[in-house]
Amino acid sequence: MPTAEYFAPTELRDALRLLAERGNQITILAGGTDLVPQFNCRELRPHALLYIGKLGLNYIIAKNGGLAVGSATSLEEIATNRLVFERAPVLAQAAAEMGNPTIRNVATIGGNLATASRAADMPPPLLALDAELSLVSERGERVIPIGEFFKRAHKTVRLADELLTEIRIPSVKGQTAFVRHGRRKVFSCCVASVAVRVVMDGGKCADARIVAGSMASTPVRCLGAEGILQGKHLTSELAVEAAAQAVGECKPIDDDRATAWYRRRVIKVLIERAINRASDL
Amino acid sequence: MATNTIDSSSGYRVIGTRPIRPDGVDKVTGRAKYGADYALPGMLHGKVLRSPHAHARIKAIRFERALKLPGVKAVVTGKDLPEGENKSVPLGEMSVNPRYLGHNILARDKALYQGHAVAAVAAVGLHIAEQALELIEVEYELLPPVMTVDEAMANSAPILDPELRNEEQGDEPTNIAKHAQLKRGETEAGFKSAQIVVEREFRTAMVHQGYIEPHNALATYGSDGRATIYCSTQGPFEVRGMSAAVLGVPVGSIKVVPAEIGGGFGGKTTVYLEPLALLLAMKTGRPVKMVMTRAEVLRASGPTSGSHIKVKMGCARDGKITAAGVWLAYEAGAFPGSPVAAAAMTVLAPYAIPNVLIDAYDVVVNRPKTAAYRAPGATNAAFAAETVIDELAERCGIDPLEMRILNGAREGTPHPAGPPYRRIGFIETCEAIKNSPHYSSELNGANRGRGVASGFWFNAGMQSAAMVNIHADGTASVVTGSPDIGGSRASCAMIAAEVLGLEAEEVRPVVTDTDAIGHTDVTGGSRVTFATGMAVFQAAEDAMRQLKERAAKLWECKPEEVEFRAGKFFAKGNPGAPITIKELAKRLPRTGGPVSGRATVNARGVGPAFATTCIDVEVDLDTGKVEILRCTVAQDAGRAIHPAYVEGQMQGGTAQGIGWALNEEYVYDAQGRMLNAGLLDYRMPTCPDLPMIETIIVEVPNPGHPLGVRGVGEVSIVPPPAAVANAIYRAVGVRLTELPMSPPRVLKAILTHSGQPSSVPAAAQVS
Ligand SMILES: Cc1cc2nc3c(=O)[nH]c(=O)nc-3n(C[C@H](O)[C@H](O)[C@H](O)COP(=O)(O)OP(=O)(O)OC[C@H]3O[C@@H](n4cnc5c(N)ncnc54)[C@H](O)[C@@H]3O)c2cc1C
Repeated sequence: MPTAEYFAPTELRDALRLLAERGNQITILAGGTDLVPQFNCRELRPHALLYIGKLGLNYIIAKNGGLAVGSATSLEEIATNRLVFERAPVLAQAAAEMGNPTIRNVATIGGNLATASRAADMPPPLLALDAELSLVSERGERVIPIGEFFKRAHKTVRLADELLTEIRIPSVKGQTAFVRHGRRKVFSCCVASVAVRVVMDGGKCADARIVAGSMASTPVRCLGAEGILQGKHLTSELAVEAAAQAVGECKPIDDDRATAWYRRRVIKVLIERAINRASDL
Repeated sequence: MATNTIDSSSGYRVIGTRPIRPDGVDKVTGRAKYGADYALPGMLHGKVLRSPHAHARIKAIRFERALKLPGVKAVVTGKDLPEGENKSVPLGEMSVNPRYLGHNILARDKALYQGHAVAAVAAVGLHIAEQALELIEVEYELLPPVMTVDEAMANSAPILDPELRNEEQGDEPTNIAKHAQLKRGETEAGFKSAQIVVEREFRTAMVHQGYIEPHNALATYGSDGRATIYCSTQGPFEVRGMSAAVLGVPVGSIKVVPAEIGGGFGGKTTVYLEPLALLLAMKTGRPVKMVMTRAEVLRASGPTSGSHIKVKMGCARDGKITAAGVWLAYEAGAFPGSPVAAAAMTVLAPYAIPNVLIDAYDVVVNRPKTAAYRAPGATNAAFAAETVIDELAERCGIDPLEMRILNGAREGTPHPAGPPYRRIGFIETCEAIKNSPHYSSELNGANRGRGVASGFWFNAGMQSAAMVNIHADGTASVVTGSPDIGGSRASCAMIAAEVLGLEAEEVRPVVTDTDAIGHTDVTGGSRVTFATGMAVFQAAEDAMRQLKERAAKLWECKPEEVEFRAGKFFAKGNPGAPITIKELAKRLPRTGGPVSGRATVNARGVGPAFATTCIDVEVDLDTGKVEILRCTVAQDAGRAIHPAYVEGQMQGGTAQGIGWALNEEYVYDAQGRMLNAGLLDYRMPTCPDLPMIETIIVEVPNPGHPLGVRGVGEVSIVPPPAAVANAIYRAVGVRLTELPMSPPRVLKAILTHSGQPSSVPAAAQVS
């Protein structure tokens, strides 16, 4: 009979101990919305499960003018929390538009990142916000920029003994927007998504982030397109120019949700719309 | 009908009201027992090994290792089923071919689609059964998959069934199971006399009914040779008949107990697990339970056909249609039997067209065997025909509703495949939309458009039985054999209540098993409120006749002298006070014993259904996404027994039709493997994707039914895809000819239309 051991520690150090001892032989379980369907379809057969919902990693606190979010915080919590609304509205919006209410109630932000699905909704806004991730193991803590977290689809730089414990969002300036395109209004994985942040200074764009999701195997920061906005007055013509540049940077894939051709068309439109929305054009 | 207790001139008391549904509380409190809720002591769990290949010869199956796994009690393969006769035998609404049915339950020599059952296991636990499947070795010889009707009909196509023949091709092996033709008048002359001719070609995708409850079955088999099957089905008597046919056991040895049902929409009118569970129960002597996963439901139960359709229609400048030619090729799935014949008979049914030629091809492909789905066959064909009619209307400069009214079928118009219509309400549905607040409203804004389309469905009669029992307190139960998939228990209770002078809540409707009631055909063809309702009506009248006899006994008068009015029994010239049914019920033991009314019908007088739907859309020119802004459907119900459930059917069918229109489709890779076998990526519309669907119930009573009832369950699915296509055209000037009209397809059409074809990949899969 395929059975699995199940651990639900209440102390972080017990969890880290298990990870240190077992590494790849233990599967971290948060909300289970990615994992449980894979268990049910027998795509994945875990030897042991480490449930992290009792470690006190469910929190959203103000920190250094920004936010610290525990990795086991549910997306519903993020979608409705006042602090997130005030300090990272783009994250709240992305959380509110993902999945459906039953999924959001259990799905966690940490799971959304660690699963490293290219259709994931949290990475683009977090990249646009220059977020950092805290990875903790018995060996200590390392903090990395989220841009360095994803290696390819379903692969991150997290080592087998590490737990993603916290997402840190610094105090950043600027106006933001998130636009996603799915085939349904809810309960629909993205075909393309984009998060944008523009920092205006004296009517000109002082800094910009343009991040495309669901395009390639990892979220793509479109540096060339950001450069086009830099130092300029934002107009809808400029948004078109930046979007065209971004399409070249995205290298979209073909999959059963959409063709690369369609992704290229749509991401261009989404980027234009997101820039316009962020800069109130 | 001998007598009519209901005085319709005075209006109905219960019929037409909206009491709370009798099954509602059980459902919302979790007390309702669905198929998968059943369990029996000593029960085994069954699982099916399914082919990973779309088309493969099965060279060998080795299952000794599986049998040796502790806890495994039996393994069966196609060889354990008797080879059924290769001919069509009538069974309820449809006819079945026992050989094909058996081969679909368990593959014999070939696996014909990904998900085709190849072997089944019974074990003491579900996980053991699953583990056992992994120990079964199947040796396959891969064959090229044939996925579309075009591929299947091509000259050099690989052949699915080397024994399949059709009348036209003689002894040549073929994938075309049947070619049927409907002909009236002379189309050539008809097109010559036309001033405007439009000819278009269409394709539609394979789609699933999407019922939320997966297929399930629990079967027991006793040493006395008697079997019981508990399952979720629309047709317990069909399950009994088909299981008996597949297993070669007597029909009477099987009892089928229909569980509460979590949706069917036509998909639960055949068998998948039921004969398998029974076969495993026969082998092991223990109860066997089987439940499909969602992926199994999508891959291996019966969706409805994708199709390739060509329509040519001609009309005079004033809009009068002179001729129509229709060519239909439908995917049957792995075995013959698509609903293409129904498509042929429905496609032009709303119109009086003098010259008609319809060709219909039933084509086997390496996809799951299709099953019924709400107005089977009609929606694909209507998408094509109703789009062409819209184009003709536009070319004539006529309002699309006026075009339909001008050409619309009325009483006396010959149906393309049969006798002239009796009273029908097609024109009335068009008028209802024309006069609706929706159609009269202005639609402003860029890239917005309004489309209309109509649809027809035959509805069905067939056999039903009913019993009406009078309880000691003067309330009643009504017992039928019709599983309730759309509120029919409420309708049956209301019909009995109307006749008996009771409140709807005082009549408890019961759906019973196949041993406890006379033969009742499938809950399908929109027939339950019509035919079972007719049986209930007659059974209630039978009970009423018996009650009058009892009152006559009390009053020592003749039964003919007893009258029932306003809830009370009177006797002509009897000085005593009138009595109610409640008072009379108390006296039954002393006037002759229990009162139980009975009736069986082979219902005639079916009244066809028509619907006309109006949809407003907004198209996103940059992404191709279509938003439904507003939707109104008008449908002729004949008589709405419970208007809220009639509206529910109208809205449900419309929602499904919009799903076909915008997003739903089976996506396959080049090897014939389904890529979206889950509800996240098989995208049915969710509530936020739809506006509140407005309904207009039209009531043109069916002269063939004592209460005027027509079936209401199906026709509303027919118009939406065409209505959406016509609305998209009005919004952005592009005619879509493929379903679903998904964002990539719409975008591609817009780009091609606006002269930017170079930016569209030639043969890109644009699903
Ligand atoms: C119906 C449905 C709809 C969905 N729709 C969307 C959608 O619209 N957008 C979207 O982005 N996603 C969607 N998803 C995917 C999923 O819900 C999200 O990715 C979710 O955020 C995953 O979180 P979880 O807590 O459920 O993860 P789990 O399933 O518990 O875990 C996911 C992965 O992350 C690992 N993991 C979890 N927590 C940690 C941690 N703290 N440290 C290290 N590793 C960890 C696990 O080991 C596992 O590999 C959907 C899923 C379903 C079933």
